[in-house]
Amino acid sequence: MKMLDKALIGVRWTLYDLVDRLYGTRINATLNELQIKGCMDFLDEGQSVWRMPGRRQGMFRAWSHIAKRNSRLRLHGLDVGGILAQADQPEAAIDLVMTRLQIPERLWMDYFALELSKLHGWAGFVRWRAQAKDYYWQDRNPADLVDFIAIRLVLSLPLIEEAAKQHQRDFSYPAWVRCLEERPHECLLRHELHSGAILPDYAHRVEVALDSSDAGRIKTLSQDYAREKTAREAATRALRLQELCERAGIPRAELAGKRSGALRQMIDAVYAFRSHEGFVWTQALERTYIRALLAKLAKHRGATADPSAADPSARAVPTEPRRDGSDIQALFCIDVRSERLRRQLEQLGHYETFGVAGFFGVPVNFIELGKGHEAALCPAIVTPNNVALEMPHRHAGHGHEGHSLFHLATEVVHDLKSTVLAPYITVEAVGLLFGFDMVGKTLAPAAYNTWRRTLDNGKQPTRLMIDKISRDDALDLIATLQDEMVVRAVDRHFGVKREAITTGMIRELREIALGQAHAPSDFARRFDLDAAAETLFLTSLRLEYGLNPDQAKIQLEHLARIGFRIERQALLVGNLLKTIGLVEGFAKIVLVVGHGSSSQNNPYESALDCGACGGDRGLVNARIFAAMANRREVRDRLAERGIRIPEETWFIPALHDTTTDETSLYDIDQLPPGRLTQLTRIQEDLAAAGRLCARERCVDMGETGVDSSEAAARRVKRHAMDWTQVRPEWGLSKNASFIIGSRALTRALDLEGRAFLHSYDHRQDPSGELLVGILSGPLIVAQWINMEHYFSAVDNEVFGSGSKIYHNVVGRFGVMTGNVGDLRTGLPAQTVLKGDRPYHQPMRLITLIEAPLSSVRDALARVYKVRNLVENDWVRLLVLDPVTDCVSLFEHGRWSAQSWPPGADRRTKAQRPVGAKPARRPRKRVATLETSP
Amino acid sequence: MNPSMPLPTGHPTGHPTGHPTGHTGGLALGHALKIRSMVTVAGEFLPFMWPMRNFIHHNPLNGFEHLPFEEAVEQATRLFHARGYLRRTDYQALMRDGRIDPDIIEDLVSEFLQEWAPRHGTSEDDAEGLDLKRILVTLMTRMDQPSVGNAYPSADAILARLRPSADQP
Repeated sequence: MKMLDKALIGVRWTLYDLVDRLYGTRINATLNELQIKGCMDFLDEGQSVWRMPGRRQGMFRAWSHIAKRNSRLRLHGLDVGGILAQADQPEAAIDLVMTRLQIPERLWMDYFALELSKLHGWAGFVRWRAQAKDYYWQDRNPADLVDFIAIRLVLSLPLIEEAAKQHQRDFSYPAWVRCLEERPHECLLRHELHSGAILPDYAHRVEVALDSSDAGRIKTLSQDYAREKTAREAATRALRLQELCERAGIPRAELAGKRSGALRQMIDAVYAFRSHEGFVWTQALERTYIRALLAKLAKHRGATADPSAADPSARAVPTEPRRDGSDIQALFCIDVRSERLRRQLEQLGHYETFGVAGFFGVPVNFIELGKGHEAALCPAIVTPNNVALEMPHRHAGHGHEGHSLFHLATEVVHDLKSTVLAPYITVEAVGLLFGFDMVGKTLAPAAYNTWRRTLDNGKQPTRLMIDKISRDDALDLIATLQDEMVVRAVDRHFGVKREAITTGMIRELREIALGQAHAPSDFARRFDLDAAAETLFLTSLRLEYGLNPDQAKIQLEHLARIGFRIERQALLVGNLLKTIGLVEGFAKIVLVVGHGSSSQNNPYESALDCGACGGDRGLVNARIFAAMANRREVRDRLAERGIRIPEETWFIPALHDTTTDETSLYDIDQLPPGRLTQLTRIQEDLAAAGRLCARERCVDMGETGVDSSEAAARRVKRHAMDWTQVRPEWGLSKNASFIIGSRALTRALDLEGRAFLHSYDHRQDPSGELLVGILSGPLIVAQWINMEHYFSAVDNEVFGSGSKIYHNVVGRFGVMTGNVGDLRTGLPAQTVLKGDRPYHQPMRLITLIEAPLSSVRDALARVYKVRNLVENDWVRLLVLDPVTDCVSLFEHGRWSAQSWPPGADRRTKAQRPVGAKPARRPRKRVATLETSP
Repeated sequence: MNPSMPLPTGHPTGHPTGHPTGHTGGLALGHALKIRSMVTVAGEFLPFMWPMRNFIHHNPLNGFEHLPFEEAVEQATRLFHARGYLRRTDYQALMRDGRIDPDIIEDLVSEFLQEWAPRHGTSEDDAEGLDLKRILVTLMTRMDQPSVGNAYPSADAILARLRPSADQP
C-alpha cells in the first residue's frame, strides 16, 4: 500500500484536511459552514431582512468587523479577534496565517487553489463579481478572492490550533512533513481508520495500537495490515478478471494454463485501460452520432440532388437560398429547440427558415419600461456599446417621426408628476432613463414596486427607442430633468408648490447648483431664506438630487450610449443578412423569431431562455432588428452595398415560447395595411407548427394519454403554468451538434431537436470574415452550453446543481441545497437526468461546417480561441467541402477525409473514412490545424 | 443611492495601495501585491458563477481549456473530487438504446491497444497471448462498474491469485 506522500501537503491536502483525515475531526465542514454564512450575509442582494453593516468597506473588512464580536464563532470555540487585531487588510491576514502555519511560500499558490476548490460555487461567484465592472452590487459592496481566502484562512487557524491542543500535537506544515516522514505507519493506519477504508476486522486492533502510541507495535500492525489488505484486493481483482475472461469466452481452466507473461500483459492492459475507458466511451458516443448524422445528411442529399447537376462547380454551392413558392421567410435562433419548429413550419409549405444567433447580431443594453437597470442582451462574451429604451406606446406617434427620444422622455418625466410617489423615489425613477443600475429596487423596494405596478397596470404597448439623440437634445433633456428635480425638492423641503414659483426661479436654482450662477437666488429672496438655509438646500440639490456637474456629465454619457446611428443600424442588419446568406430573394414577410421560456416558480427559468441574449428572452433583439430592417434609411444604405430589400418586404418580430411552442407576433400595429391580410394565416401556421412540436415534446417528456396535437398543446401549456412542475421543458438537453451551412443541407431532416443550426453561405464570404464571426461568437456560446450539459450530466452533484426539490434561493442571485451549502453551479438534475439515468448524452460539440476546407482552415487560423478548442479536442470539427465533395474530420491532431456522399468519390483520393481507425499517433501531441495534411 | 459616490479608498479591489506609507495593514506593499497576484493566478481554474437571474451557460472546466480534453478532465476531476465521465452502466444503457455502436467500441479498443501494446508487449509467449481486444471490449460492454480499492496490488500480486501455480518471472 502507498504511504501518505509528504509532497502532497499543501498541493492535494490543506493542513486541516490532514487533521480531518488522520484525527477524524470535521474542520473542513465547520469552515465551510462558517464561510457560507459570511458569504450569505455579505453578498445578499436584498433577500435577507437583516443587512450586514459596513459592506461598502469590502468583504473582508465588513466580515472582520462582525467576526470580532460574533458569538456564533465563539460557540465553535473560535476567537478570531486576536488575529484580526493584527491584520486589518486581507493580504496581511493571509500572510499572518500562512506564516503562523509555517507553510513555505513556494506552496502558497497551490494552497490558495485548494482553499478555493472547497466551495467552488461561492468562490466562482466572488471571482465573477470581482471582474464584473458594472455590476451594481460589486460596485456597492466590493469583494474579491483575496477577501474570500483571507476569511477562510483566518477561520481555519484557530480551528487547526484548537485541534492541535486537543490532540497534543503540532499541526503546522513542518510538523506534518516530519510526521509523514518519521511516522508513516501511524499516518497510514490513522488515514485508513478515519477515512472509513479500514478492513472491518482490523478496526479495533488499529484503534488500540494507535492509542498505545507504541511506534514498534504500530509499525508491525501497519505492515501486517497493508499485506492483508493488498492480498485481499488482489484476490478480488483476480476474481473479477476471471469473471471477465469467462465472459470473453476464456474459461478459467484455459486462463490458468496461460503463461505468466500473457497473464501479466492482460492484467496490465485492463488496469491501464481503466483510466481511458470513460474517454473511449465518450468517443464511441460521438463517433456513433457523427456516423448517423453523415448518413442522414447523405441520404437527404441523395433524395434532393439534382441529377442534371453534373458539373461539380455548379454544386459547389448550396442549392438555396430561395425556395420556390416560399412567400414567408423566418429567422430563428440557432438554439436546438428552434430546429423542430423550423422543420414543422417548413413542412407546412411556403416557409423558408434561417438560423442565426438569437440576438440577431444586435448587441444591446436594454432598459425595460419601469425597470431602472440595463440588461445586456447579447452573448456573455460581447460587451454592448449601445443602449435601447422601452417607452410607452402612447407617447409615440404612429410614424417613425414620432420616435423622438427627447419628446418621449420629456413626456415620461412629466408623467411622473401624476404618480403618487415620495420625492426620493422620483429621483430614482428618473434615473431609469440614464441606466443607473438597480435603482428603486435597492432604496425602497416596496415603494418602487408600487410604482412598477402603476406602470405595469394593464401592460401598455411599448415602442423601442433605437435612434441616437443629438447632443443639443440631450442637454435639453438633462436640463428638463434637473428642473423637474428642483420642483420636487422645493416642494419636499419647503412645501412650496410649482404654481408658487416661476420657471426663471427653477432655472436659476438649477444653475446655482451646477455652479453656473451664484447665490442668493430669486427663490431665496422671494421666500425669505437666509444664507444658511439656502446653502443647505443647494447642498441637498447637489447631493441628494444629483444636480451637480459630475452627475450631469454622467447623464450625458449615458444618453450618448442610447440608440444606434443609422450607419450602424445598416451595418448590423447587413452583416446579419450576409452571414445567413439572405441577400436577395426576400419574401414579402420576414419573421424575426426570438425565443424565451415560460415557467413558474423556477429559479432556472433564465437557463431556458436564449443563451445568445445573455440568458434573457430574445424578443427585444428581434424587435430592434426588425425595426432597423424596416427603416427606409437603413434599406437605402444596404442597397448601396448590394443588398436590395424590396419595398413590399416587411420584417415582423416574434417570440417563440420554447415551453409551449407557441409563437406570438409583435409590433403588428406598425405593419403596412397591405400586409395585414396575411397575418391571420401566419398566426394559424405558427399555431399548427407549434402543436406538432408539442406532440414531439410530449413523447420526449414521457407524457401519456396524448392522442392528438391539440391535446399535446394543452398539456405543454399546463406545464408552463404549473408551480409544482420541476421540468417544464427539457431545454437544451441532448444538444449534440452545431451545423453551419445552408438549410438545403438539413431541410426536412428530423434532427431530434439536438442540433444548433446556423445558416451560412460560403459564397457570400470570400474573405472568410463571416465564418470568423460565427466561430468566434455563436460557436463559443454553443460550446459553453454543450460543456455545461456535459459536465452537469456526468457529475450532477459536483458540476450540476442536484435536485431542484431541495434548492433554496439564496441572496437573490443563486441557489443552494438545503440551508447551508455551496452555491450550486450548473444545471439541475431535472434538466439532464431522467430518474437516475442520464437524459442528456454527454458528448463534445460535433461541429459541421459546410464550406471549402481551405476557408475553414484560414478562418481557424484567425480565431485563436476556437483553434485551441479544436486542437485540444473540446469540439469535434467536421468540414463538408462542397467544392471537393469531401467530408473531413479533425481528430487526433490531423484531418482525415472521405468522399461525400459516400460512394460518390469522383475526384477524391482514396482516404481513410471518417470515423474509422486513425493512424497510430502519440497520445500527448502537439497538433496544428494549419499544417496537418 | 448616489451613483457618483466614490468607492471606499484603500479597499483591495484593484487598489491595495490606499495607505500612503506603502504598507497595507502592516504588510510591505510589494508582498501584499505578490499575495494578491498569487490568489489571482490560483483562482484561474475556477469557473465564473453568474447571478442566476441571467443564467449563463459556461464550461465548468473553462480554466482547463488550454489542456487537451482528456488531460483536462483528469486534472479537474481530481481537484473537484468529481467524475468526468458517466458510470460504465450508463454508457452500456446508451449502447442498448442504439446510441453507441458496438462496432465503434471495437475500433476504439483496437486503437488503444495499437498504441499501448508495443510499449507493454512481452516477447516470450506472444503466440500464447490472450485476446486483449475481446477482453477489453467485454470489460466495457458486459461488466458492471468495479468498486475501486486503495491498496493498488501489483500485477504480480494479482497474478499470484489468478493462478497460484503460475511460474514467476
